[in-house]
Amino acid sequence: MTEGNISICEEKIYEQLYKSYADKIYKHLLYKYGDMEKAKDMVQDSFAQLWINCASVNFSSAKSFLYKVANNFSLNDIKHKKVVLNYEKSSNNSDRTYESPHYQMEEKEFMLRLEAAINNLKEGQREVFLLSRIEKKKYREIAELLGISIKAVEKRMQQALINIKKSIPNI
Amino acid sequence: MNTITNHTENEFLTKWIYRQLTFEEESLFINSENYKNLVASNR
Repeated sequence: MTEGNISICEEKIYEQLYKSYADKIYKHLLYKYGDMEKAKDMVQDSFAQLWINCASVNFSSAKSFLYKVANNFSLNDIKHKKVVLNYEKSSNNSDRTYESPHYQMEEKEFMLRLEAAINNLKEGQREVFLLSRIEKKKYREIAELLGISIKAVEKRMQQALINIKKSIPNI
Repeated sequence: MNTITNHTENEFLTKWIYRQLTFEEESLFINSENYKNLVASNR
């Protein structure tokens, strides 16, 4: 079988990639940014992204995809720390740009789909997703809060993202 | 950039799902009606 025929959507292949690269990407992020927990979370998020995009990423480019996604997460995180933003200004809705009714309808539809997608998640998945995205908890903190392993948190998050993508295919 | 258009809110929501918002984007996004509604409906 040539590399071009190998599908990342096959669990064995995906697991093989995880075994080959998870630790290397973790160390890369850790050495670069010095935060163990963030590095672990970013590795998991990068692999979740790979799984979600498994049909469109070639086996031969999986490694560069993973590093690119991980680095993007990291750069965003650095910006988080460096930039000071005036929330008061941005919370003022008076300068919002209101676009055409078409966009307004599109936006409303997207929101409804997202709310439904979150509501339709299994309780455990929804809990993990919201604790991460709204409460901004790290995977370790979520694991402690819920009394489950970090691996279980990772699995639930991955499933949550897959199910949300199924509900909103164009994301 | 200090405004969120209706068009970009969908992009922000997508980035929020995947934890890809930059700090500037997140700062804008968390003050948007969409985000407030999301938080309100899930707390």
